[in-house]
Amino acid sequence: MFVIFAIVAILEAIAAILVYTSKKLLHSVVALALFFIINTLMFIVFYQPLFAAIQLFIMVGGVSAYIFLSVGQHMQSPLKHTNYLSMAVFSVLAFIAFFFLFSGSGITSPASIPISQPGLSSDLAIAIPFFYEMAFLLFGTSLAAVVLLMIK
Amino acid sequence: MIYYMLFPFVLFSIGIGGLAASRHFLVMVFSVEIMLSAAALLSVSMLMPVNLALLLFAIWAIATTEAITAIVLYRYISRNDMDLDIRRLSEYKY
Repeated sequence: MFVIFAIVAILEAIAAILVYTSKKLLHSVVALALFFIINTLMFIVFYQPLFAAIQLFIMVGGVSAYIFLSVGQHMQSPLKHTNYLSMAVFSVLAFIAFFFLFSGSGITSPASIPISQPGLSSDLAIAIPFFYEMAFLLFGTSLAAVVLLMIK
Repeated sequence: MIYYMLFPFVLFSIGIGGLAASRHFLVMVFSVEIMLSAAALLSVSMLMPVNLALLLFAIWAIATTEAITAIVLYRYISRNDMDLDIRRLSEYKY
C-alpha cells in the first residue's frame, strides 16, 4: 500500500514540477493533464473510486479549456517568465511553514489518520467503469483536437 | 501515516512556489489548479471519515469556475491585443 502511494506521489510531484519547467505552454498544459490523471490515481489509492471518477469528469472540462487556450497562445507568448530559483525557495519555505504548523498538533498522530473506507453503494459501483470510459474518451477527444490544431 | 498528510502539503507548496515565481497568466492559473487539487487530495486522505464530501464538491466547483474565468479573461486579453505576461498589465489603459 505504502509503496504504491509513494510511486504515485513521486509521479504526481514530477508532473506538478513539469508544469513550470516546460519550455512551451502546450507542454505545460499537457503536464497539467498528466497531473490530474495521476491525482485521480491517488484517489483510487485512497479507496475512493467514485470521487476519482467525478474528479476526472470535472477536470476534463478544465483541462480541455486550458488546452485550447494554450494552443491559441503557444506561438505568441513563449514561456520565459518563471524564475526557477525563487520557485524552489518559495516551495521549500511554504512546506516548512505547513510542517511547522501541523507538527505540534494532534492531527499528525497516526491514530487520527485513518485511510478512508470505500463508502460506495453497490448501485453506483456497477456504473464506475462506464464513468471512466466516458472520461478517458473525453480526454482522448481533447488531445486529438490539439493534434489536429497543431497539424493545421 | 504522516506521509499521507504531508504529500498534499508538498503539492500545495509547489503550487505556491509556481504562483509566486511565474509571471505568465495561464501558468499562474495552472498553479492555482494544482493547489486546489492538493486541497481535494488532503480532504480525501484525511477528512473523509468525517464525511466532508460537500467540501470536496466545493473545491471542484471552485476549480471549474476558475477555468471559466480564465476563458473570459483570455477573451478580454486577446481582444485588446495584450500580452499574457502580467508584468506588462500596468502598461495598458482600461
